[in-house]
Amino acid sequence: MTTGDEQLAEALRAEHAAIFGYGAIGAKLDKATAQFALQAEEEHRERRDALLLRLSQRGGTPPAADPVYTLPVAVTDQASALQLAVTIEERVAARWRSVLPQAAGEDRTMALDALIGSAVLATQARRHAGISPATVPFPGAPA
Amino acid sequence: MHLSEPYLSRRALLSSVTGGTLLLTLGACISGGQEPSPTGPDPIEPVLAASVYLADRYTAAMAAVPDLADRLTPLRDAHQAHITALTRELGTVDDGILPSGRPPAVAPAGSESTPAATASSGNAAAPEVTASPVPLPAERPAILADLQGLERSGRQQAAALCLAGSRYRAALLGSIAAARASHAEVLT
Repeated sequence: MTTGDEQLAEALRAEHAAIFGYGAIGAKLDKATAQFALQAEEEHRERRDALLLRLSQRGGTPPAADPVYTLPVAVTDQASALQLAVTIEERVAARWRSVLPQAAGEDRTMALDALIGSAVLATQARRHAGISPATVPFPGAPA
Repeated sequence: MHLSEPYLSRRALLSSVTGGTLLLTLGACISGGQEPSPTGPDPIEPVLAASVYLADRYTAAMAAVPDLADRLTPLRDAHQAHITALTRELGTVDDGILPSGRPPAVAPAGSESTPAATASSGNAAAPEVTASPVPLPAERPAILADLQGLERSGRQQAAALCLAGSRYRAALLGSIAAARASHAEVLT
């Protein structure tokens, strides 16, 4: 694998973890907020599928999902579920941002779309949670 | 001081045309940009000019509708952080390319020492800035819609340069595009 493909593999691992995390989030949300989580999870599934396809087409073996992940936030209610969503999106955004300098062409386009997508999803999760401000100045950048 | 002219002329240009359309035009202009050339303008200059314009626009919006301050201040501050980062990337702070000789983000918004205010008093292109600013809409919903349109155009501009420009700037420009996209989101 090239350095760029290694970075994409790391992004795929992050997307696998995000999909697992959203599985724990949806059940704790009210109806309006659950719609947000469904759409977010779908976006991560689409990215995962696109990464699996791209890495496979290049002859690599894309990393599979782990059977279980340790959640960074204990999900007990809607507030903690949304906090987990924020954390997931921030971590995924950071992973995709680190792809950008290693990528060119369609890979950089994929990374940029994902960084922007996760920044917007993090903003939506903060708004649902009543977290203010709902934005950060440099999405994906180290704090 | 002649070094500042490309930056200031873009600032003047930005202020003289409807922002959203112009930001897109600038995005198209720089989409073929590659490594910064020692002889030509730095391709991130239009992105910096857009950040300056956006920060000024938020400041004007909060002056017009003070109860928007809680909502808009973090967005204005983000643009000022972008100005600092982009100016550092240009490597121009220590060269005095900004008339104030320091990053504009450290100046209180709306003060006389912001780049826009200083530009108005110190450059031949300045009359354009003061003579034909794009008027801020009068009503609160229209103000927010104006800002949202500028953020969306600005997102496209930063994204285009992220994709077309050098690798080492891709992460910064990607974060700026993502910030502008999330700003448009909270203005809905």
